[in-house]
Amino acid sequence: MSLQQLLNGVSLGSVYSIIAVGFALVFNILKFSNFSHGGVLTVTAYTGFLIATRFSLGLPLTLFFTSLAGGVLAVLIERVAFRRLRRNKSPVIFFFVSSITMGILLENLITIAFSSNFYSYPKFFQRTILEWKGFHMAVTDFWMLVISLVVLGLLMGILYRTKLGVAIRALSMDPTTTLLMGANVDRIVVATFFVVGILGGIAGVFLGINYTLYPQLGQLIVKGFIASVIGGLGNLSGAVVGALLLGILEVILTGIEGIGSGLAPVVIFFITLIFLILRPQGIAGKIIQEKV
Amino acid sequence: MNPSVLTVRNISKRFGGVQAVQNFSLVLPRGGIVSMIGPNGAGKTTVFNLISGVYPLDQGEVYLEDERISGLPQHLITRKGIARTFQNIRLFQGLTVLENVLTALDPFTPYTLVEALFRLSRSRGEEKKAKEKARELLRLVGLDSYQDEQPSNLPYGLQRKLEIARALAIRPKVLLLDEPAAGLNPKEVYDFIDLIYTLHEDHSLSILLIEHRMQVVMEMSDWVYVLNFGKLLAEGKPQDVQKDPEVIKAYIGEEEAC
Amino acid sequence: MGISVSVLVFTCISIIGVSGVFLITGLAGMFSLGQASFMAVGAYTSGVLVVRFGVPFPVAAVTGTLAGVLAGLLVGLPTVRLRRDYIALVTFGFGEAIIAILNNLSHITGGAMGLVGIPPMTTLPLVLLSAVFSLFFVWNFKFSKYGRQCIAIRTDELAARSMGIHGDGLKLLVFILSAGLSAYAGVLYGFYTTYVDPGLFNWTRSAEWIIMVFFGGLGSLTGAVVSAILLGTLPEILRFASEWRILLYCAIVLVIINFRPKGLLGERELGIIKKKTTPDTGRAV
Repeated sequence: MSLQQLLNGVSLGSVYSIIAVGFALVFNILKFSNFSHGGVLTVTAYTGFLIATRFSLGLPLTLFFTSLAGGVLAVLIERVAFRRLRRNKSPVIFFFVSSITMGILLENLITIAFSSNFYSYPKFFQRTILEWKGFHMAVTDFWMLVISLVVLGLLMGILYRTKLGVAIRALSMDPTTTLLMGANVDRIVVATFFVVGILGGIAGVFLGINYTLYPQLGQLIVKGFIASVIGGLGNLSGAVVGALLLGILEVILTGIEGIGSGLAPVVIFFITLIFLILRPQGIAGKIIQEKV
Repeated sequence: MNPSVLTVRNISKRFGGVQAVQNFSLVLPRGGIVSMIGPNGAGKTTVFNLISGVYPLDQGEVYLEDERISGLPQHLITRKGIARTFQNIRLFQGLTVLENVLTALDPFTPYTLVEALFRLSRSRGEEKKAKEKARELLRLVGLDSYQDEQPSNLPYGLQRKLEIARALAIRPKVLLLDEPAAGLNPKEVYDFIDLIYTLHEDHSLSILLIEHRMQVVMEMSDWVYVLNFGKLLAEGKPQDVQKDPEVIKAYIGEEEAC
Repeated sequence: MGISVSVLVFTCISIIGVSGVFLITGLAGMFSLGQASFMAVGAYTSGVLVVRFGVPFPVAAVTGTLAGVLAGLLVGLPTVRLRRDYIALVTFGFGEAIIAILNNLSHITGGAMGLVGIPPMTTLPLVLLSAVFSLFFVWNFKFSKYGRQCIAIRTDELAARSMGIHGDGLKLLVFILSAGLSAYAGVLYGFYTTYVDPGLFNWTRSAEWIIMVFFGGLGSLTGAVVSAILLGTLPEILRFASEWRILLYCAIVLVIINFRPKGLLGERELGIIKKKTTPDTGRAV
């Protein structure tokens, strides 16, 4: 594996890490795998496209508005798909089904609105490739990496330095006590979803840039899931590590003759399977033994 | 024949930073009724979980008669003859009262998948037999008129009885009862003690009991083990343990204060 | 008013697939986003055997189904003891892997272009008979010791194990059976449409079947059948385009989950056995 591949893998992984963290946040507070996040990715990817082309905005502004859109969308999703389930204390299966359904619904809305045509984002930068001592990096990749790092840093700041962050972490550890302590759980959940939506918006734009726009884009949420699993379900830093590893792995696999991007899913499937068998708690996670 | 039906030797279990159980040993004599008491969080339910295989042991062994059962998977330990009830009633809510007992009989009901899929005569015959056995068990605890009800529609005391009927279906040698009288009013507690005695005699059950109600413990137990912070604090006959100053300090003292 | 033969055939095929999903999700509580890939295994194995190797249809059909069973065993073995979320992930991954393999083995499978020239061997009587038999088997399964133990595992796995129920063994059994049913549905499908391509067997199809089971009520086979029929024929009658049909399904599920989590029939079945249902909190699942 060359350093070049490593660079590419890391930049790909940084996008995955934003997806994975958004995924992990919801898992932390509501204890289920939120597949509707895929829908958020798709919708925001297209939204970003519309914003960028209609208003000819550069990357920073596109990201700003798209992430706002993502935040709003996520809050709406929480209201429609999960609020009542929380009220009814429904079993986890229902959250899961609701999230998948929401994801499919959004995917199909996009399909109807845009049909299955492929679109691509406009070029944001003049120069397309950066060069440094023989290493190449696409400018977009470079910015994705930088912005991802900044965003993750901000997120950590929020989680560990603000009241909201404390509330989110408390909720993820013990929802009942948090409620008893007088915290407005509803608001914390909404706030978390808003943050998750923002993350989704950013990731959506990046995915749209990286891949051409198509309605099934949201299925890349699985990468987030896999990354979270590798890192330890619910563990945020684990999700980031898992995502980076996944990105590097994908770049390597795609580069190998005979596997390419066609059979890469197969290899990843087997690796995930092996991982789940040998270390189901992920790299950083702990197996939570059910208290009887 | 081994006079002890259940032998627990030096078991320990740690959860992360917490030593839940440390070096605990216990002997349940055949046909005996033994209690475990101790303040909340003392590790009593953890001991049950270790015996029945819910958690793996960090160290120590558990023997059922002469056979070592520690390390076996949960369902096998049960099939060897250890049945239990739970502190928070764990009945199967998607099934009726009768079906709840049936499921405990199911692992032992002898017909194959093919016979089931085609509803061949052996499967129909065995189902009938199993349903009869299940009704018999419900009759024992007085629940036979409720057989088609949903468990959640039963009053609390009857749900507890259903748990017992279900546990008996396994034809256990040892019955682990986790706070079986919790949530019962005084009359129900009397009924309950009666029921346990009857079952104990008629079916030669050996019973290991976790209880907070001193009345139940004192009346029923041949021997009492007191736990505190996961360790054995004292053991002995009920009246002796009741007078032990350490025990009073740790546990009964709290009760007196209530 | 045209409920054409093809709608009937597809509905019956759905019923077979949905009965498999009922086993795995309704009875055993596992979420498999890969049922459609077992369908693909069945369709492609039997299709390739006939188209490329001239194997007679009955043999190919049986082989296709057995291939699905084998795939179910291979995937199920490591998967069933994982947590629910992980089972969904692994089955999803398997689905993707199968699609990738099918796309890549183009000299055998026709790749993304699909497998053409499958002879039309599926007739309406065959499909109807198959659907009836599938329902017969699954119904008997549900009311046998196997079904009961599955429901016990679904409701409270820990308690089930302490009653002596072999959780992993049963889950694997159910996994294999439903894989077989899906594969057989795939065989019938391929030999009706005479053409299959990998894109037909993606996770949204798996999700559709899950949605049908939910709509009918997780514990109810009758409900699953009813919703397969309703959701299968309604769009045809009302002439919806396929994207709107999926939107409709999704909306239905969201409404059900929010307002009537027990689905149409809850735990009830029509006919033989009447059960009382628990209050509408969705908690009984």
